[in-house]
Amino acid sequence: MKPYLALIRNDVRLAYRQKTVIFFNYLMPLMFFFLFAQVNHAERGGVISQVVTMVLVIGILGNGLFGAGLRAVQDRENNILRRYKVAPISPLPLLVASTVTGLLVYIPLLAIILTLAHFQYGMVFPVNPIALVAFVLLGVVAIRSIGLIISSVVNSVAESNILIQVVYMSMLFLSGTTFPLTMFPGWLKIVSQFIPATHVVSGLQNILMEGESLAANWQSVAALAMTTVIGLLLCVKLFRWEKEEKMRPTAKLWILAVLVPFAVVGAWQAHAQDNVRKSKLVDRQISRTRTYLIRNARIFIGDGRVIENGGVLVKNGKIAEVYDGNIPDEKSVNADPIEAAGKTILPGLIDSHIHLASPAGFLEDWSKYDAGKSMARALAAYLYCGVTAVKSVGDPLEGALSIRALVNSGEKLGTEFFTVGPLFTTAGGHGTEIMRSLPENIRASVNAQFLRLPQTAADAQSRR
Amino acid sequence: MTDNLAISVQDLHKSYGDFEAVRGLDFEVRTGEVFGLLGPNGAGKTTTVEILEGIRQRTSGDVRVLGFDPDKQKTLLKDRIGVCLQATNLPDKIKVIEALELFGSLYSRMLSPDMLLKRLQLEDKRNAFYSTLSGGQKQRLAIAMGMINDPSLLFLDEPTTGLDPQVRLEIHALIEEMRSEKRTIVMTTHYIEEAERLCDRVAIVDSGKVVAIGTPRELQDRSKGKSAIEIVCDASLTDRALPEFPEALSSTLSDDGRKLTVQSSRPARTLVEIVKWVDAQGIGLEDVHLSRPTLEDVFIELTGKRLRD
Repeated sequence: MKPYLALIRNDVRLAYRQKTVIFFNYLMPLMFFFLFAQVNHAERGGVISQVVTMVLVIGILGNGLFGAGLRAVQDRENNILRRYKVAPISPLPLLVASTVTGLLVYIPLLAIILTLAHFQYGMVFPVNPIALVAFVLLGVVAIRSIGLIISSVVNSVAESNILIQVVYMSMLFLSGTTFPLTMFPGWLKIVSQFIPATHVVSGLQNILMEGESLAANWQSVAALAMTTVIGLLLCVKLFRWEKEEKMRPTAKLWILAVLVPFAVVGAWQAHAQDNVRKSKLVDRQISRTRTYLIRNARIFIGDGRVIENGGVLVKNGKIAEVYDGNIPDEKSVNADPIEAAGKTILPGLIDSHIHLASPAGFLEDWSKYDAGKSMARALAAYLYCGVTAVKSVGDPLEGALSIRALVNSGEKLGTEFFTVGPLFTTAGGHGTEIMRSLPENIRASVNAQFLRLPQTAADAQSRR
Repeated sequence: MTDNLAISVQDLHKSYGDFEAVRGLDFEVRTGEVFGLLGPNGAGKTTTVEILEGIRQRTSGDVRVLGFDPDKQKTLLKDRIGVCLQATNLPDKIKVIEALELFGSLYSRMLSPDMLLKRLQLEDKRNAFYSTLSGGQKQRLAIAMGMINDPSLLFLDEPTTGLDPQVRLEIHALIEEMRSEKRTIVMTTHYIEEAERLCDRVAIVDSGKVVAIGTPRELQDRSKGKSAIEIVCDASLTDRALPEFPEALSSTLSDDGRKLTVQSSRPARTLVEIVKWVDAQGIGLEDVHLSRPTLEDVFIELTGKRLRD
């Protein structure tokens, strides 16, 4: 124990005496924090959570790849490690000390960023602070072990510079840390799933913005944990005290071993598209939470009043304020302005009697009718026309419930959707006559979902 | 293993693939002596020392260091020995006292860092950063680090290479001090006079084998190159008939006849006769020079190579 503590104390002391550590671990992430917050007008809505995610991951990458990777190579190349070789010590305490030091150096950054985000930009305190901190620290040790593996297989400071920069840049730009994943073309989205940093970003987003638990992100957690373990074990095995002991070029392939958990997760994600879907949702969430000021419009309130020249302030997806003249400056309310001169604002229309699966019009070939597609399209069309809520009073139940989940979660764009249960009537009662006009191929399934024809009082009272 | 042997090496072999670096090395180091290893680069001395320190695995042979087998009892051995490597380096921003405390904590037994700093005259550099130390101070720190665990056996690899003469003398004094504390010291060096002055016994190593072993004086005496007496006269001796000087093996006269070089197995005796003769000729002596064979001469004779390229 004494060597571990002594090594950790030494490492932490030396870390804080080095300008590069202060820069990569604190100054650079803070610079990016303020830059991203400004560029994205973080004071205007939920995007601050995304900024926090990005900056924390930038910090993790700097800490692990430069803090661990580059430093370990320098120590070996400068003959510093050599002195340890003749002491009764194995590589393990050195590697463990490096990892613990990384965590200790990172924690202040985490505290500073979360504090700034909350007090300066109004970020809501995270729902799951323990899950958040645990996941972030897991990210730190995982990326650090990748940095250490790189340092184990390179033969010179020059080589390590190249390799670490390549890894750092690709993780920085392809993982959603700087450019959101939703911006990428499909093939690049798939490639990004194989990169460890992507899973740190997505896990962090899910926990921070969606309040998810660690268990909900078990794939990312498992992959990061495995990479850490594999990385440390390999580092012990490949450890070199002196620069004279050179690694064969093929030894660099060991880096791939550390990335195996992410090859697995990546392949799974490429198939399931889970992360991509979630990041789209997150993106949509962010834009919905922005603050907007629609101004200079004519406004029908809905209670009979008409405002000839007014404004509406929308915050976090809800109407916060309606202005009759006296429209404030957008900066004073931290909002994005939307010019609506010459336009009219109405409350959203509500259609309380629809049959979503009924195709509008006539089809030449009924066998080509796809209820699922048609229902989704109809909901989008309603929204486009200004109908913000609809209620279905008779639709295939399964289809209705699944489309409702998609639209109300935000995954598909459409009007808010309410639905009733199956039609409750007697044989031959109103509604059953419609079945006769349905095409053969769907009549049976629609009957089963759509109609409820109880034969006895007890049947009627039971819940199906 | 006998009590008074710190190190015992028998028929040591080490191969790197096809290349045999050490081909049957035998020697012993007695407790409390300063033992020197002399030899050119590539002789296998570094490999041998690394094997003794427990950081390289031998191919075959019997090795005992402080009673331990360096391959099988590495950690126990490393705990008891002190090592001062050539070209030790420490992080720029570590303080002198921090370095001592750090490395001391790796051992089961630790001397007081402050006491060591005092002994090595580094007290006023206690809180200085490593990068601000001079070459001599860095070397003294390296020696302090080698002593932090109070070792009974110390390995010094080229302890004064690259240091200026004044510092070299200080370190020599230090080594002699350590010897008087009954510590066993094994040192490798390129400097002949250092080996001749400090070592109780010296082993000359070439191409993976010990070619000669003994006290510096013993080795010098083995040299076929005998002592050379050189005199410079104020007049030429060219036309004089030179007598056979006693114990003299050869006589050479320089071109201008004024410098006479005589090789002898008993230089003192020969010198007296030469001076008497020159005096009897009525010629004045301007200069007299006597040189003994050095270990380097021994080395060259035994191996045909120079110690330093």
